[in-house]
Amino acid sequence: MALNTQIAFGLRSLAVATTALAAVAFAQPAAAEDAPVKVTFIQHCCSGATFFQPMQFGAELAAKTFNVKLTYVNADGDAARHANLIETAIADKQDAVIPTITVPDALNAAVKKARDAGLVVIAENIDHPDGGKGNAREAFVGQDFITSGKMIGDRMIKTHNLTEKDFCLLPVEFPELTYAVRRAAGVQLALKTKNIGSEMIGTGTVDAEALSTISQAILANPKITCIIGLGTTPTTVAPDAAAEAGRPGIPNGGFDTNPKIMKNIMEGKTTATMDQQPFWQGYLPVMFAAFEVRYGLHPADFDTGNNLIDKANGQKALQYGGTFR
Amino acid sequence: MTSENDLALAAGPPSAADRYRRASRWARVRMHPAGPVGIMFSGLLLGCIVMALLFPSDFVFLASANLKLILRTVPNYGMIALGVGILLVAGEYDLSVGAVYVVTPFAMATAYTQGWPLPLAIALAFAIAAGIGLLNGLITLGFGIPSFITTLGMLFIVRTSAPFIVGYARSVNFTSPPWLKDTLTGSLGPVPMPFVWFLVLALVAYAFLNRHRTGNHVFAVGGDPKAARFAGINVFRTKLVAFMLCSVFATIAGIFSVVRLNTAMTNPQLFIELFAIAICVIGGLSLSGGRGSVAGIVLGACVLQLVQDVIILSRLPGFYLDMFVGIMIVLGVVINQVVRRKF
Amino acid sequence: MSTPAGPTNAELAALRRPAAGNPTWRAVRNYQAINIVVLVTLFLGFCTGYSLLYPDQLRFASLGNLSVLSQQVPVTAIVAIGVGLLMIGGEFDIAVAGTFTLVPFVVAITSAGSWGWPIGVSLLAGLAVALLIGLMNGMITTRLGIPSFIATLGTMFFMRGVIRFVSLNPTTKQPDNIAFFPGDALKALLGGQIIGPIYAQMLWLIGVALIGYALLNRHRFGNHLLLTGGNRDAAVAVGVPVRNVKVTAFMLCAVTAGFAGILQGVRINQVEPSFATISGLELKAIAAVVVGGTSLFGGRGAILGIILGAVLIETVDNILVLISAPETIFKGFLGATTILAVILNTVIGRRARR
Repeated sequence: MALNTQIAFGLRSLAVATTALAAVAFAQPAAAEDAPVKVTFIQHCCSGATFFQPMQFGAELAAKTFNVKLTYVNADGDAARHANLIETAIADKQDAVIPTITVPDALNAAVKKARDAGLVVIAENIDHPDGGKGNAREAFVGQDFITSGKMIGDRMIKTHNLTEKDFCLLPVEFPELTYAVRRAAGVQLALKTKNIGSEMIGTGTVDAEALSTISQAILANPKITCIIGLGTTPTTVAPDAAAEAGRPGIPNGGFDTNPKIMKNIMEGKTTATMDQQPFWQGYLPVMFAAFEVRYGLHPADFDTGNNLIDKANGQKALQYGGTFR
Repeated sequence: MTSENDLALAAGPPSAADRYRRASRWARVRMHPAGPVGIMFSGLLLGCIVMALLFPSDFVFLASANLKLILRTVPNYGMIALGVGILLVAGEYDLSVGAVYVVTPFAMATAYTQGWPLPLAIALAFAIAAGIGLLNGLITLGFGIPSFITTLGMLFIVRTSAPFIVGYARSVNFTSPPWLKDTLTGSLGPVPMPFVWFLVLALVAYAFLNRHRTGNHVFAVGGDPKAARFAGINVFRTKLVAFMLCSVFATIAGIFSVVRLNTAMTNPQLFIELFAIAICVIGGLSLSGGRGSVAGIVLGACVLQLVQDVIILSRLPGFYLDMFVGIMIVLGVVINQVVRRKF
Repeated sequence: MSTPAGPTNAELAALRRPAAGNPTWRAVRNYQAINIVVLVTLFLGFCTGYSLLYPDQLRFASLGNLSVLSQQVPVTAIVAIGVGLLMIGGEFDIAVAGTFTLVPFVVAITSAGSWGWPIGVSLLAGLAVALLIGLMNGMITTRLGIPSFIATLGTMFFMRGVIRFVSLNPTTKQPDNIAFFPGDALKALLGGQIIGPIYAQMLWLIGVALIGYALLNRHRFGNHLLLTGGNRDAAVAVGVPVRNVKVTAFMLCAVTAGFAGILQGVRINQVEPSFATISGLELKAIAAVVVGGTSLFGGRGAILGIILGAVLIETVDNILVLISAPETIFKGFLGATTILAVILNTVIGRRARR
């Protein structure tokens, strides 16, 4: 059954991608003649965080391509502010709003209100746990945190032959945030199949401090034989932390890409990273919204996130880091 | 002790100098601004060593990797705290250091990757830092508004400036030349270079505060600005220098971090500014200015890092690290008060 | 301590305002609040006027947008009133974001699931937690004699750990959001639409503001607070129980922060462990308070100014969204607004005093 769902999902994604490509190829000149479509795009947190750079780049590229007037705002990790921004978009007579369903029940009312007011609503980055059944959004473009967590867990187990004697450190910036909780659940799902123990540790966002915290944790617990960073900061510093703790060989992997993570992967210091391809999470929702508003084309869910990057396929990610990757 | 106190009370409140002259050596240690934190640090260190000898396999405090790690980590917040401390002695706050620490090295790395010669790129970072410090000072002193507010505003302004200027949040690989990497992050014998540089910077700060005329003025304007003005000290200029030094120290810390990690990012590094102030207060600096010592700041940084190390090494749940750090901050300041009051 | 009578209001007022009878001094005091009133009126007037003239360019004065503001501004303003009262008493609370999160968490947990307490009892439990947090902050600051900036910085980190603990989901052993559906009656009471763009939150803000005003300007506590913050030695000299006054202010601050957290939780039907961690509620509240003309060093401030400070900060943010300002500029604008407003307050205040 799970396989069926996955295949269905894959087919649907493929169909969407084809539509998108066709749209890019043919629809562009017509679009430019219409009045611009007004879209509010809500990044759910962390102004200045490099993770969101390709997302914003993608959203702006799509806006330019499809004649969209884009309002790109940040909810500062605050669900109430997120709801406010959706309602402001309604009041501002936007044609579409693109939120992140960070906190399941918090945005239901606002999203419903937006739909009732005739706005196109496409979620990006984080979805309601029950998907379209739990929330009135029309489609979701993003990564399934639990699936991707399981994928990186499985990959670490496979590459490094981890067994029940091993123990994984799961460092993350803020252990209580949604992405951390769900990714940890996914990773632990994989680890459980081999009875591998794990432990979370909070690192904060200061790179140098995160580095030290992880090294100290490794020193304190010789049982640790593997590190899976659940966010950008710990994934970035994990190999350096292992080296400073005097155990440079500890297998490590994690989530997200940035120039440093990609460099580590290409140099073989990091095994792999889960790339959720934030570019698509910015580009596709804006494009979907533009096409639904103009031509009534209905959007569909699109999984951007099961792209495991390792040395074999990392060259492009390194090359286009900062724009498309 | 009591009888002496009683006598002193009977004769009216003695002056600070009187009390100092009459005090025993032990009391003098406690009266020094860095006394309490020194006692705290020694106690903590002694405790760690004893525990490490008793449980060598469970509490690996004395492992050379751990000691090196501590020495590598202390300078990170420590260097920022040196600048924040000098400014605190002058009676002013700087919350914008958290953003300066990120933005100036980012400017350096960006300029360098675009082909600027390294010295010029570093000069750029320091020029921006000095400019921010100058602006902090001019707004605070020129309009007479609290520096807490000026620098709170600047924290947000500076933090958003880099992503705003380059268009997006960015991350730049910074592959520094080997000589720079070795000089800044290598080791001198067994001692990691960051710690060596931290001590050098601390000496510079000490020389400035305690051996230079402007440094004396810093104490004076922080302790009693009116009296300082009467004594002919240029309060405006003295504080301005302190503001600029503060930003410059944050930039130095930021450059160390960027060289160590080979990457510069615009990611906001939250709570640095608050940690820097916490270190200073644990180190015996007064939040209202005029009192403090460089030794206190150095020891304060060591204590905060030691405690964090102990928490992680003793396998207390890392999930709750924040909680222990919070308790530690309050406890550190309380010990300061108690030790100082007990004479 | 047996101070049955204590100083009279008149004595306190005389101490606080050395020239109470002097009309110029009174005018300046009034002028203090008027700075921010003028500023906010001009700003709101301009935005409203512009949006009425060109409704297609700026939809500020539309029903929907005003509804958003009338639900958000009260939350910020209520937190700011507590922080402001405390600041008037000469102390800071950096830990308000923790209180803002923990209190609704307690209410949500105890009123649902296996606990299943009646909502009234849960609310009382929330109140008790808030009072406890305030007491803790107050006691650490006053009894141990350490700066409140540091004391509450410590309790901020401490509470983050507590929140992680109470938010642990029993099945996944991970911190988790908790749904908060306290029933239609409470929802209507705390967040219902009254009429047009007026929501219940506005009425609660008015209520809290009136209580704050009464405490600050019509009750002996306010005199004690102003004197404690303005001139601690004089306050001690005339027998004001300085420590108790400060502890009370800490507790008031925690209660308002907790109440605002409950308002927010009821509105979005959920409480999350990271409620206000990243958005930096504590700094936003301090900014609102000082923008509103409150002295950072204590002893001066007005409830109306604090509320208008919150209004200004939230409205500037709202306008930036409406004009599609670049995302990177928002926080910088908050910083610039704070600095400029305080400069304006200070400079005009100083001119007037001359």
